Amino acid sequence: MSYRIAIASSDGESVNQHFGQAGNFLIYEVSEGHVDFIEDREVIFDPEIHTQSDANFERVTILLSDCKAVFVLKIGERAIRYLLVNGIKSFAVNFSLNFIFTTLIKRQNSRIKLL
Amino acid sequence: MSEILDEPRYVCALGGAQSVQAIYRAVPIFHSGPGCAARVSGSSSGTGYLATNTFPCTNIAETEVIFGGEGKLYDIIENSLKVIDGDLFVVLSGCTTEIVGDDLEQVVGDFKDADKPVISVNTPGFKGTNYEGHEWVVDAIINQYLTRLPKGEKIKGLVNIWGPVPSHDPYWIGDLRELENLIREIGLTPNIIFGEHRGIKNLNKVPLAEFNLLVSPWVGLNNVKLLEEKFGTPYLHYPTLPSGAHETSAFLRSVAQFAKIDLAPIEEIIALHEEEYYYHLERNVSVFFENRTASKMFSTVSTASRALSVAKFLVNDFGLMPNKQYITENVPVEHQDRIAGYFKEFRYGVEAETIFTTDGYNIQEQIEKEYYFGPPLIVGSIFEKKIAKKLNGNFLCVSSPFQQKVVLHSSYVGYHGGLKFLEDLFTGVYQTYN
Repeated sequence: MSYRIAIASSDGESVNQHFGQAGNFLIYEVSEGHVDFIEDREVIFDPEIHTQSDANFERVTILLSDCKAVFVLKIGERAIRYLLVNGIKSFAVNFSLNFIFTTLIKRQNSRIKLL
Repeated sequence: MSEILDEPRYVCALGGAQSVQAIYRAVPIFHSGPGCAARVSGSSSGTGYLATNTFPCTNIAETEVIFGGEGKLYDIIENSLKVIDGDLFVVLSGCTTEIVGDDLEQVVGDFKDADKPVISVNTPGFKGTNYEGHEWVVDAIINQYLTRLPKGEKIKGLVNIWGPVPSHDPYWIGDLRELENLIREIGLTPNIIFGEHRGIKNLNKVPLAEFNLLVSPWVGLNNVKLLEEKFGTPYLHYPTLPSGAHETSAFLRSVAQFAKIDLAPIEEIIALHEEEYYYHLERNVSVFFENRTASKMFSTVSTASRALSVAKFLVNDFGLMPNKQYITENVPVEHQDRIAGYFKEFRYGVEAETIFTTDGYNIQEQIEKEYYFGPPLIVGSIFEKKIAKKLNGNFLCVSSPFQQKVVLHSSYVGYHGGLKFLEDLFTGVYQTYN
């Protein structure tokens, strides 16, 4: 079974963006034994909408709606809950993308799964 | 094999952290979920230099379950060393991190050159109770800390005392201090690592002792064996926590004999104590035996250590007859036959049947069926209060879960401990019927 994840990274090597301030999310698809890069999704900031507002959370949630999880450097409690009720788990980590991918591939056949 | 356990009287192995807390300025670091520290300590270990709410904890959540928590543990240890002024840091693991497979030893190994000693102990709840956790904590301290100390000369007359389990046993500290007093009275120097302001200073003296004294039926037996293996220190295993004249006098004689001390002056000390002790018993005989509500038979529902101590006192000193004795701390199977044997060594050939069970429902059901020749006396935990009341019996709470009275430093050990036990017992009798 494959699923998509979003990673807040500006360099494609490590998670280095705060959820609210991330200008883009890298979307990857995790399948049996491998991870494929799908696309780089840009977050269009609206100067009328505050980054901590529900309206902004909703825009980002829609942007990531096909993902099961999002990896960010930091994320606020409200944003965590907003994402969760919309079926997206969030992980505040400072890992490299490589570590995330290898762990998720390893976990696919273990009892401890991301999903 | 799984079943529902009603009214457990112990917590999981992570409760061994209470023994770390009992070493002054030792810091337990929890590699577990955020609730574990509070759950295993409850209200029993109280506050102090460090307490439940200030222990460092890695707050394991989903991220660490998926990606491992070793990185987070490293950060927490590193920062704890910076902000907590402690003498010994002990990392303890909970169930979650053990299932995930975090390697504690490897992470702790990175701190071998730290200013303060950092050691680790695996205490997942599925592996045992807090009584076993206590043993593992002491074992870890021996293996990872004491063996790395520079070798020193043995100190003549120095005796390490082990036995009462810190915090979980409400009378632990009073009992330890009373044991200390008794040992000091016969001319030896006691050394206990637990309790106020002893800490690392006493811990460092452990390998230098002339012998180890274990006053407990089973908890700590592995520790004194390990100390013998590592430092060649012999040990005396005295299974009964002495309470009252009969057992305390026997205890003093055994220790003196083991330490090869001249018995004549010891007999003088014993005679003096016994004179005082029996004076108090004699002048209160009317309270004890002319009280129509006093019980003739009793059951204990407690840890092996407390049950044995109370049973020996009530039979040998006070002349009550034992009904079944319920041992509730999930004693490892290898110790059970030996412990059951201790309950067959009362004076006058009196024997008691021991039941090893952890289930409150099972215990109360059996107590209700037994015949006690009048109102039963139940000596147990707060869980037994209801059944004692139902049977119009007498009740004394001596073990965890306690919440019955506040115990600061009182003790049921020694000559004074026996008298204190009677005070508490008959205060209960008076309060029930007056």
